[in-house]
Amino acid sequence: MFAIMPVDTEERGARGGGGGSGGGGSSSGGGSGEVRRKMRTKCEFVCKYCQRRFTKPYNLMIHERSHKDDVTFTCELCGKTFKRQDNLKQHRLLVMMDAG
Amino acid sequence: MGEPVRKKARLEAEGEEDGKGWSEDRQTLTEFQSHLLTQCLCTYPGPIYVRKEWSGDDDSPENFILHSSGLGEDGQNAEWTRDHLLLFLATVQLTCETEVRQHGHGIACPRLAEARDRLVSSHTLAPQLIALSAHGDPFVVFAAGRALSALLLASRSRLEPAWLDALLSDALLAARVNPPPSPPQTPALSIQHSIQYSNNHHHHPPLHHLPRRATFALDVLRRVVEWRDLDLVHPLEDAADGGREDGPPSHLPESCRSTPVSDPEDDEGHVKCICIKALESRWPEVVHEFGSLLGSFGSTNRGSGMSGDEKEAAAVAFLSLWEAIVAVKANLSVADTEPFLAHLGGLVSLLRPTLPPVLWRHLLSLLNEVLCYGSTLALQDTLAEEPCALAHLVVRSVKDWRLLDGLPYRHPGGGRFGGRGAADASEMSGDFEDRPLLQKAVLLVLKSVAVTVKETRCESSSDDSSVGGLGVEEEEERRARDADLAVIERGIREVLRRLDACVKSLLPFHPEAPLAHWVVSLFSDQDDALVEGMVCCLDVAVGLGGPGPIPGVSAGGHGSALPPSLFIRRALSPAATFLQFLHAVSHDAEVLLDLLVSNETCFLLYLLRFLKFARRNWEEVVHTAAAIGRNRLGEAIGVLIRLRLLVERLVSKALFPYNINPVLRLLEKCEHLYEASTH
Repeated sequence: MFAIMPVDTEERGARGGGGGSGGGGSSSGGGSGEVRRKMRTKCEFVCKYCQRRFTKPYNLMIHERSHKDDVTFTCELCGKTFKRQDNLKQHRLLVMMDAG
Repeated sequence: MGEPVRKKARLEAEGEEDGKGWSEDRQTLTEFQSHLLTQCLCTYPGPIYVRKEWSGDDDSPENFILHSSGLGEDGQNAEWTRDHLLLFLATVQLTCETEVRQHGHGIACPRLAEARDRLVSSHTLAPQLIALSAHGDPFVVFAAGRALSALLLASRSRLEPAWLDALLSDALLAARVNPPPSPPQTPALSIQHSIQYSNNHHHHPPLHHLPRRATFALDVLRRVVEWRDLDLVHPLEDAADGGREDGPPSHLPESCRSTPVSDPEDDEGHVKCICIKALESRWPEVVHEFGSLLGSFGSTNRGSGMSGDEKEAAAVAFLSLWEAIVAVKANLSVADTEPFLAHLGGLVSLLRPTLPPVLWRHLLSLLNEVLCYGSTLALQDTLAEEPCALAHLVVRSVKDWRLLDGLPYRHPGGGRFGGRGAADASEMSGDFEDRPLLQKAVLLVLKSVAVTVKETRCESSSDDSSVGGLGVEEEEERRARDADLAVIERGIREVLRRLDACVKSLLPFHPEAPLAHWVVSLFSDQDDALVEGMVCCLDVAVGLGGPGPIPGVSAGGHGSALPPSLFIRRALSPAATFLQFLHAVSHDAEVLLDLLVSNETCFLLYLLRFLKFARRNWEEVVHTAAAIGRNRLGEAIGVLIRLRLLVERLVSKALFPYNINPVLRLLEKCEHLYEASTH
């Protein structure tokens, strides 16, 4: 399901950890290195929910978050989870009042 | 069955007066429901199924207690009271939904599983629930729909395709603007007909409830398609995380004799797939019929057989079903949903002033769902054909066919609750100002523009990659591409200009306010649309826009003398949008953290891309901030620093739900750039 081809480490390093293809599309760079990059087979990462394809793992991660509705905020004291931070804050206050 | 039978099944009401029978049944069903709420029926003292005792004489053993109840048009033939029927339906729904959730988590309370088996193994319950769509009481119809969708999901591999056929036939039959004169013989109606015939011996099923049946059928199918267990973690996700602590707890009491499910592959996804396949085979027909129904609004000589409200309800149910199928959140395979993207073009042409506002809203929602920009399309290097074709059509419709001119922004009241715009307008003219409608329309245009730009850039970059060297032919190709790009830029400029004019004609924005400003104000009460709109603006500005702003030149308003790329960069200035956004959230870093952690918006994508933009165009950011107000950049950096500290605190305690390091690195870089520019 999770089709992983060779990882594009060079590009990730140069672009600060992947993600986002909406950059300015700069075409600067050394000639032979650029050609090598263009000729390289693109990595493909496949969404396990809908099988859509992405070329960057971080983009796939961002996409897969939209399929899920899972836990967001977790209480450091008791591990209880909340969808919203204000609910967590309210919970923390109650925990502290109980402890005090 | 082996279980202790302390109480008889006291649900049969035949021969009893409403008073005592209903009272006992209510007690039984209420007790049953209270046990269901604990997720376990092991300690339930009575029989675990709500089924009529078989008399052995004239009743089939498959006869459920619903066999002759609640099927009359006005409820007069019902043996049960309305409350009795509603309680029964709610119990069926609760039983099935509880079991489905439990099954999804890989565990089963044996008595609950048995209750589900009994409900599913009846071949009469589902048809009877379908037949209840003709009941005169809308509450009963609603409850029957809920119970039926839960039953279908609980059926899993034992789902009868005939039930889905019956629902689809009902939907299609009712969608016909001019229903046939003879009594229809669809499976569902045949079921109802035979039951009624056995009671009344001479009545044909009435036709005047057909639109309601269509709404019922489409709503049931929609609930099946969009079902997903919110607590459920994908099996691959679970394995990848090494079994997380925050996975779905079983919630089962210790006394439950629960066992692992015998066949975890037999899940509700199977029902969704069967449902999608059943819909796929008849989808062209469904689209044709409901397309005709949608097209009949505003015409006087068609659809006289049903009221406007019924037509609207059926059309809303159809559009909602379509939206549920194509939604990313439905978690359906892209291959499965592809056939449902084939007829979208015709929908754009239905967006006419005569179409009721409620249908405009649903149609726009559907089109917005197809253009799933923030969640999917913005992240892909190669876009599918269908969303691109839709985006082109929307762009063309705005530019050449004045799509936005027909937007029913102000319309007579009714049909929606409150809202700031609604209250203001109704005091003056009695009309609602439909702000959500305008928001959907603006978002659709922004997404269409962003998809068009992205597609253009994808094509040119893929062309680049196929070129080994630069010869004369390649140079000519490049020139031709540049010429195409110039045409697209002019087209996009025109679309943005029309959008700007439309919004400013409807809302009191300053005539010189750039799109980058008003887009934040327009969406300020709808964070998902706001963030997606900002992503679109950013991507279009980066993808098409020229260099940053020139001092002394207005960023908004007319700007007709500017070259298209500069006009676009000014109108959609990413820095101005971000600063306006921070102003809208009162420079509260915790709001940003909420948006970042939650997956209800695409804020992660937006922040990542904006920070990349800022890093590459720092001078433009500084300049834009200075033009907006004193120390606006300092305030913005203060927010980003507070956000970084909040995120780092969570990361240090391993509480951040995903890898946020790329954003943290970009935040640090922007801080360094700010420090360098102020010293």
